[in-house]
Amino acid sequence: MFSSDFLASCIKTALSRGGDYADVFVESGADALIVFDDGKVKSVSTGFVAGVGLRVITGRNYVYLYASDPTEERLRELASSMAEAVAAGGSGTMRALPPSPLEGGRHRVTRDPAGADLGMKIEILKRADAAARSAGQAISQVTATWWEKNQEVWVATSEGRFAHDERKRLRMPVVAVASRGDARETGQADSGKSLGLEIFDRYPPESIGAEAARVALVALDADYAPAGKLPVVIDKAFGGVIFHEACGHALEATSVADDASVFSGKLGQKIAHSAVTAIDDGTMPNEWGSASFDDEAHETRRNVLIKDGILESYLVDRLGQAKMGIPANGCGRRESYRFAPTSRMSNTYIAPGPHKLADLIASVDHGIYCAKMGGGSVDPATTDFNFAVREAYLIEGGRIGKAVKGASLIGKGSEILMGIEAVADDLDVAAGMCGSSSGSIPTNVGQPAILVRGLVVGGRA
Amino acid sequence: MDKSTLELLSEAARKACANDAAGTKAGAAAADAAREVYYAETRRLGLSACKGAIDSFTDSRSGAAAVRVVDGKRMGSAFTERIDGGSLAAAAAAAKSAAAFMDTDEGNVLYGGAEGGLVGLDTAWSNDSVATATKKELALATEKRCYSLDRRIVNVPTVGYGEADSVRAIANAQGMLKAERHRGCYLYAYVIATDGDSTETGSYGEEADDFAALDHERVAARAVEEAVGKLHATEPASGTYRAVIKNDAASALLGAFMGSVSAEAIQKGKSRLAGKRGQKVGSALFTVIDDPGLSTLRHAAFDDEGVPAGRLEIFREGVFLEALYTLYSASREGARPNGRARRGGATANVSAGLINAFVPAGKDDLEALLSGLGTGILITEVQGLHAGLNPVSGDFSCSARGFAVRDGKKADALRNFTVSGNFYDLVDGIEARGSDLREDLSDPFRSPSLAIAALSVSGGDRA
Repeated sequence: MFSSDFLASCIKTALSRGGDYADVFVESGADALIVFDDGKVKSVSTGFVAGVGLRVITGRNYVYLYASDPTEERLRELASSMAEAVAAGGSGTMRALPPSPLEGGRHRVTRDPAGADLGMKIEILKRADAAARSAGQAISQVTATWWEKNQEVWVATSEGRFAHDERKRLRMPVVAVASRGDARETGQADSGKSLGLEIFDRYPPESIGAEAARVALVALDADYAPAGKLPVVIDKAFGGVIFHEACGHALEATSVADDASVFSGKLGQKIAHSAVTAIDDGTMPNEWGSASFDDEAHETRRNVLIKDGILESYLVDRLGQAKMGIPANGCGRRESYRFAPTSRMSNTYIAPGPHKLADLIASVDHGIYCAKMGGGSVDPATTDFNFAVREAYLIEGGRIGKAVKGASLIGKGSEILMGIEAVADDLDVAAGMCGSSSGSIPTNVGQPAILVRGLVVGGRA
Repeated sequence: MDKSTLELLSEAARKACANDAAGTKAGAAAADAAREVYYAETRRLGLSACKGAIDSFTDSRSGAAAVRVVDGKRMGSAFTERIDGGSLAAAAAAAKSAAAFMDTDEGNVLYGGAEGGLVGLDTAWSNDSVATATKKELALATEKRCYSLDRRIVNVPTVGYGEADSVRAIANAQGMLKAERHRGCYLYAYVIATDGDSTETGSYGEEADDFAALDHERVAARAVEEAVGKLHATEPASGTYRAVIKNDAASALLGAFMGSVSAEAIQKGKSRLAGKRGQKVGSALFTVIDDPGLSTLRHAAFDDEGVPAGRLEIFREGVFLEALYTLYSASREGARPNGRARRGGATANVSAGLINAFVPAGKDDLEALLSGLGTGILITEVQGLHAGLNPVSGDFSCSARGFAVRDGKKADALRNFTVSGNFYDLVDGIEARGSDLREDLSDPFRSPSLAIAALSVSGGDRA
């Protein structure tokens, strides 16, 4: 790793002809990907990641230079190129860096997967595979994947921040295929935390495999979902993808600062039903989206975004701070050194309410109960969003009825936030990957069960 | 890619690490196995314009090498972003060590060819002689053009220009050393239109071989046309409609299911095309050709395992003819590999994929297709395809935008609805192909506009 003095000299060079602010991001890491497919180890791949990124912000604008295979010589070259690329102007100066970085380490793992026996990891995948296959004769295929990322970052800034953070994340998604004749359906289950091998004490591989198979088998016997606007009960945990898409992205400075969000200029205004309080919390111990520092060397924070329906805060990164005049709040994130950081969610959830799931279902005469959700997307300027439903049931007369499949849910976030009428008390979070301009990053979505009116259920007409 | 890197790869693959220059113990451990080294490097430049200024500028050079080792029908792989003899030796050792934990599989083979082939490595690129200032001016001119085209354009959050100059190289222990250079640039605009209480967005991007081919007036016009065309949209009634799916949307929707033509997916029961080779699975108008030789932008002389890549007919007149093979799936089936192994860089795994596939254009333009439709719906956008489809069953349900079609003409804009159905029903229901094959080559699958017999629409209350 580079010394504090060396990083400071590079930042100084980068700011030598102009610029208000500069930071350098150094990354190294080891990844492991093991795919157990078709009853066999399909692939074992390990890798060594190493790169560096250098950024200068001037006014509302930035220049970002990056390179893999970082050496002192290469970083010096980047700093010189940066001085050439940055237009004159700006008032940035280099504040002294501490001799050694502030250490992260708030999300330590107890049984580090890095360097652990490969055979043991494969055994865990086999256990998930066996559990899925034993769930029913119709289970015809299973894929279990070991996704291990060990990322170490050093971030130094012209404002004198210097931080080192080690992030270890482990995830094991399992996909099961159920077949009957020409019909084929899939089910997926997952675990993902900033944990080591101890994650499997909480989520035994067998339970993940069995859950993937259960979802596939339910879909195999399901009819297509109906079409039209229906009341929807969305269950806890990954159901929180509705808030992530319908609102979360539109609260990121990335779109707010450029007036490209429907929520620009609405701080202090009512944007959601008073039943809704929403939080983004990068400090949650050992959660999938947690870190000690963000990728701009700010400590991660718990940010209350919406309180009782009122917009309280945006997610603001350092560039957003320059554009909006609102202090950065620990959410500058990126996939790797190949991306400049921007404002991103970490662990985002709707806070628990007073109700029970059963109450929500009992209150619906004809609607849909979405037990498991898939991914989605949104246009922050309009908040038109969509997301997929992985497991769903009709609600008839306040009771859960037959299983339905093949639906997506769509709506306009600014309207749907007002349509979240009731929130249950059973908060849970679930791991996902979120894509945006700074790449694909681990984020948790979460919520208790909620009742929403006004969504279009994209079933068959 | 400089010559010393090429030589390094060739050396690493041929001698691997037994007694190589690095002389490491790790290297020695990797000897006596078949091996392949894949290397990819990219130089990127990107910039964006917003509010009359260049608000972001990115310049980068990055690369990574991956080593695959096959030892007794077991394969391991490892990558490194540090490129030197010692790091490659360590990657080879890690790959060999990983292979020991694999199950044996007939599919675990590497390409045994020894031929060479260096494509376009030393040719000059016209973009390099275009000043960065000129590229910035193009983005700024595009932004200005967007505002000037329609007073309802209230914001142009992003106009992006980018270019990439990349090289991929592959070498094996038999002496094969192939490398191919790709260059391309793009221009993209994202605009917001507002009129009264209606706000909509539009975007359009195009990719080209060189800077001179980018047309900023066209990019601006299409982004603006999309945004303002969607203003004051209403919800369609739920129901089943005769439909025309416009070329961009048809490319996205059909392309999302092309994973089903992977031979491995078929072999493992993850595709409904299992057992369907030679059988009719779609309308006689459904033909898909994958031709890597047709354009320089998506050219590929060989795939990412080194296998020569030629023209393939995947579907002809509704009949499923040929799957996409990697060496893994071909070897498992005893089939001839057809050069469709793709990897998204050295850090990604190999899987089967299209290179430059398309549904051939028909004779009628979009207006003629709508005229033939009479009454129905024109689908111009589909969103959320990454989640809203099931590639195994073929079912899809995704958010869409479009227009009502009345008396054979495009009428009111429509919003807040989904289209759903099954891929196999969709291609069986193709009634006509438009003459407007999607021009933009940024995706590996393109389609013209398609007239479809029936499409399920979920929106407001039924009519």
